[in-house]
Amino acid sequence: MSGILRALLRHRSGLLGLVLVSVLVAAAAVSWVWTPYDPTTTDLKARWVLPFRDGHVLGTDMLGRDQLSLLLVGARETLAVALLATAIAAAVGLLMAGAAALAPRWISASVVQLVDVVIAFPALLTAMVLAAVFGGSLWTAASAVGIASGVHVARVTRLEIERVRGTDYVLAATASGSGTWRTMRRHVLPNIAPTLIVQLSLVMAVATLTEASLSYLGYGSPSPAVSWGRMLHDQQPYIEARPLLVVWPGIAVALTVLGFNLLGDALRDATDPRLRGSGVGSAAPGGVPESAAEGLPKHGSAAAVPVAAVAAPASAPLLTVTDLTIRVGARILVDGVSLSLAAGERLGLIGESGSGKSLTSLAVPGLLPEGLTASGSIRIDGVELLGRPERQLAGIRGERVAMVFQEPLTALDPLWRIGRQIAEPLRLHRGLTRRQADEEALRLARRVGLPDPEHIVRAWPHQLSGGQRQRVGIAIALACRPALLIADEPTTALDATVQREILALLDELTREQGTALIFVTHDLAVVASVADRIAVMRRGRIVEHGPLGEVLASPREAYTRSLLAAARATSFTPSPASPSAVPPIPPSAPSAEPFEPSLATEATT
Amino acid sequence: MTVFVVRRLVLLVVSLFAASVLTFALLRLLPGDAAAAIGGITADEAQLRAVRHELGLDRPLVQQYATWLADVLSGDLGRSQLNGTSVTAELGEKARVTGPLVLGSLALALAGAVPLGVLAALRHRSRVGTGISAASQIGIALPTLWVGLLLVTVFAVQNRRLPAQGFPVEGWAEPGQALRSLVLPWITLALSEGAVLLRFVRSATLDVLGQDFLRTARANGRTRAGALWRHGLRNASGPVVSVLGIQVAALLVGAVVVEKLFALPGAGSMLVADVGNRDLVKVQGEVLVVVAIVLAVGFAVDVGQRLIDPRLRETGR
Amino acid sequence: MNETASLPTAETATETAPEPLLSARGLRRTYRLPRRRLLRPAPVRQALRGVDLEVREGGSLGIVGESGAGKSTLIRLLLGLDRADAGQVLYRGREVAGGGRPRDLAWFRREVQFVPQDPLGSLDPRMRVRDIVAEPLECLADASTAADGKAGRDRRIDEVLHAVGLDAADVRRRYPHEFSGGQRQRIAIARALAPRPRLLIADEPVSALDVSVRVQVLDLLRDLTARLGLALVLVSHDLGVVQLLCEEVLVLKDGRVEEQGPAEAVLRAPRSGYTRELLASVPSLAADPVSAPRYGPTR
Repeated sequence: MSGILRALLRHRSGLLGLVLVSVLVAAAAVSWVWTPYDPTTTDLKARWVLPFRDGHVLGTDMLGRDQLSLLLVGARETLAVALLATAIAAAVGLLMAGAAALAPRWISASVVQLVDVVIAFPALLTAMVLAAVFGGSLWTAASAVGIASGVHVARVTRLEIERVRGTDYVLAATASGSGTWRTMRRHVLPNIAPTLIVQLSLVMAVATLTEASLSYLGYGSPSPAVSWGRMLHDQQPYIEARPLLVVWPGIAVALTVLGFNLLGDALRDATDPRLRGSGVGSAAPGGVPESAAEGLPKHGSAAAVPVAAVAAPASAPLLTVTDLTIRVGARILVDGVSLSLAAGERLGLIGESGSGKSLTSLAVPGLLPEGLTASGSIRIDGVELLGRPERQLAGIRGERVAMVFQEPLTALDPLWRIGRQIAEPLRLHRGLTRRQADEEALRLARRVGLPDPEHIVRAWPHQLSGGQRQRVGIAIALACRPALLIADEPTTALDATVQREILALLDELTREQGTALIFVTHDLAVVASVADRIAVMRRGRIVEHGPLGEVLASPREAYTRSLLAAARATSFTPSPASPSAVPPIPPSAPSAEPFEPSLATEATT
Repeated sequence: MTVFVVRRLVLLVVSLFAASVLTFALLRLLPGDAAAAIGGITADEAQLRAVRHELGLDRPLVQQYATWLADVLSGDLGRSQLNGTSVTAELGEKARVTGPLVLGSLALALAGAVPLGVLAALRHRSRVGTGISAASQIGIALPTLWVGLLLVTVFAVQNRRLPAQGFPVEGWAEPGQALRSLVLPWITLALSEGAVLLRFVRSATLDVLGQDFLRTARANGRTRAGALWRHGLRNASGPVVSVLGIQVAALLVGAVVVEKLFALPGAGSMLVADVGNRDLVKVQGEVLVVVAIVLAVGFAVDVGQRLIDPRLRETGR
Repeated sequence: MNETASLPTAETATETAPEPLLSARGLRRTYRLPRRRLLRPAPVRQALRGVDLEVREGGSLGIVGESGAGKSTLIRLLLGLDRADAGQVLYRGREVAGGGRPRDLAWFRREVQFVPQDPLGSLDPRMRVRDIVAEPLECLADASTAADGKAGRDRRIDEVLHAVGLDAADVRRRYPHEFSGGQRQRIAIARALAPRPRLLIADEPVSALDVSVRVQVLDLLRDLTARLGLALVLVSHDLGVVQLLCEEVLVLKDGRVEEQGPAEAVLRAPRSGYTRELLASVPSLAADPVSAPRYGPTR
């Protein structure tokens, strides 16, 4: 609890929300025991007193009532409606959501249906109808808002319950023997709480606004009660003479609503252990481990491979990367990477998560995620790319340098037909007409071995299998016959049999078109089947580099050796090694747990 | 898709039916005596009985409901208890003010919220982005009626450019006058609506900006802005459209307040007056119309979602 | 005479084929898909079309298959998380009726525990490690363990955390997001070990991990099952992992058992054409250039 409070105080807008809500509560509380003047006493001698005169801090209105006193007392009405409405909304919402989630099918279906109907009755409308029947009061306002918001809460909460019940941790809990009610109490409730908090804070805000509108329309609490909405109503006729008087109650309403909203958002964040504590704001983007740059040796040490060693022999290189360094803020994610590639050459870029291999490959065509900066030099055909404007880089991407990505489903636009996506680079770089592009898309679809190409160019990505989607990805990438293809884990998400087909296709097409290839992967066995040379990355640097056979047969670096050993230990070999033959991981092996060195331990006994 | 539309249409009819029952129940079943409410505190027992008979309140409830529903289905929402005017005819008349008010402010809100929301998402790390976000946060907190009052103060009272209140008696026969009197109501309603929409546009755009397919589009040779324009906005429109469906209810309610504030002779003012007069037949008809509109918009939104997204089309639900 | 003569044969039979720990017979499961056309019945997907399997006490079975083969459905049925349309799951000869009240299966869950695939997703982000590991202990407490009380439970938590190579004092009060992938999987394994099960069912336990971490977690699993005499059902798409940990292999394809037998026999000399294709597809570390022939557009 104190942890939550501390997190709240550290959250800047949360602090503001907390202060605003506290002021409201304090005003309501104080008004019971003290107000500067009696808010309901009219004093015609003291009409229209300007602010800060005669002890009236905010002045008086046409009846001589002290505005500050009215505001203080009005806070009670607002707070009462907000709390009452929220209590009703919470009760209605939780009951309905619980029924929809847990009750037998026919009950839950009718609850969902009922929610969808009641949601169409706006709170203000219901409140007015209730006021028409019963006469306006605190209760009509609060119950109308409570019920109308309650069904909104029910709808959102039901979806949240369903989301949480579909998570793996609920599955694991069930497999651990946790019963329905225990799972609801221990897993579902804590995990829907943040959404519930935000929803209920919204109810408070809506209640405040609706109460003001209702009182303004004359359907709030009857006369002796004071409310901010009624103050606005009373002062509207005199707006011409005393415009300032409508300002105070309006500001009071606005600040209250703002307070509820800010506090709700902040509470949501504060109750999340992932955002609390030291972790706030330090989460690495894209899952890059924090330790990627820690304790790196300085340049020129044995670990760094000199450029000369990396450079491809003979002919002028197609791609030259020199001293590429990628930072986010002060943290270094990729540290002085240099490599070069001749036309038609194939390089495997190997590394584990957080090694910087993907960032390096994304940096080449200028596709680094927002917030990351690259320095050093990246040249294609001798032309420097780093620091070029987006428009010029876009002219190279898809034309000279193309990419194939890891997740073939998310990499395709779900709303575009396959054919149009295949033709996109052609339309952009070759200026084909729509008709020509369609023909070309069909040809490419056929070339990458998509079944029934005439039909498939008219399909949407979700209708294809994973392997077919990756064939589409390859067709897109190779459409303009680029000089360099960068494939970032292109087969990791695929089944083994499909992986083999995709690797064969990549191999065949790049050879046919003479395309140079950078193949980024964590899988040594995969890279062995496509690359001529490999570069091993670890913690942002290239630690070893050389011809494929050489590196695999006699790795120089301990890290490469341990990586190879690990890969061999878990890779399938047609004549199985007996388990005892698995080579041990050398002590110099990378800590398997790069996140928290203090927690790292060797495998047990 | 056909499966979905048919299914959803059935659902709409069921919902409308349920809404009519709820509306009826809200006004008849609640423990308040409608006759007493209409007859007034001074009415004696004989007068009350006469009122009840006149309204059909002495008949069984189911029969009352059936009669009312039959009338509603034939387009007759009943007659005013005070002066006998047809509710349907009056609502049709008033819609000529409320319709343009709601649609105009919706258009205005979208015109502001979409570009600003996209900008706030694109620049979410910079001062421009956080500034727009903060402004929308404040915009959401401002009560509509107060914004209206301030606008009146500035534009109508201080420099008298625009009418502070009212609508030409001739209505749209005097288009210039009519338009001028709608300007401030439009802005008032659009500001609070726009602030809410802006937040949703921003978060939907931010969501899309992190998607892999935008990176693919850039890898194909689009610029960051080009990729967002050609691929991102359509993908972001789904969540925004569904919010629009919910916000229509908020707009209609906002219209009630704004019409009262600017003394516009629309359906909202009519509702406020009828509630004040306890003209329950009229209130019942008006509530039903509002709820029916909200439900119909919900239907349109669900179908629209499927037109945008082929993935939804195939699931049939 | 006949009777006495037949006895030894019966005994040897039970020795060579002892009663299986976990077995499944004729498992079928069909899912209804959303209706596409108005007037036609809703289409169905047959996830499992009659699967039989057996795991002996202390034995290890690897279930291999590609996506859509029915692996996840099979796991859910074996764990009693779902009810089969036909067929049954038996544990020590007693039926495991899935889909019913959770308490009815407490006897089963005390003996059979689960190691899920995604080590982050399977740990509740709002629970401390201590509570996560304590969960099966709390839920499955019976007369014998209830006597131990909280102190006994805490001792057990420390014990299993230590067994998976974590520093109990340090990690108990932490949240899952503070750990690396490998450490999270260790926590999940500790949770599974807590109620002293006899059988672990692991769903792709290392596929989300880096290669070097993978070896460590596999070593850990192998050591633990050997030391504690646990039986293991391991579901994986990765033949290398199966080869490393399992004595028996079952190849699943389109909801049917394609091939089943001792790991060495199946992996060295597969009888089914599909198994052969699967084996041939695994990229090998032999540093030769692609010799793969071109494949037709099958997928």
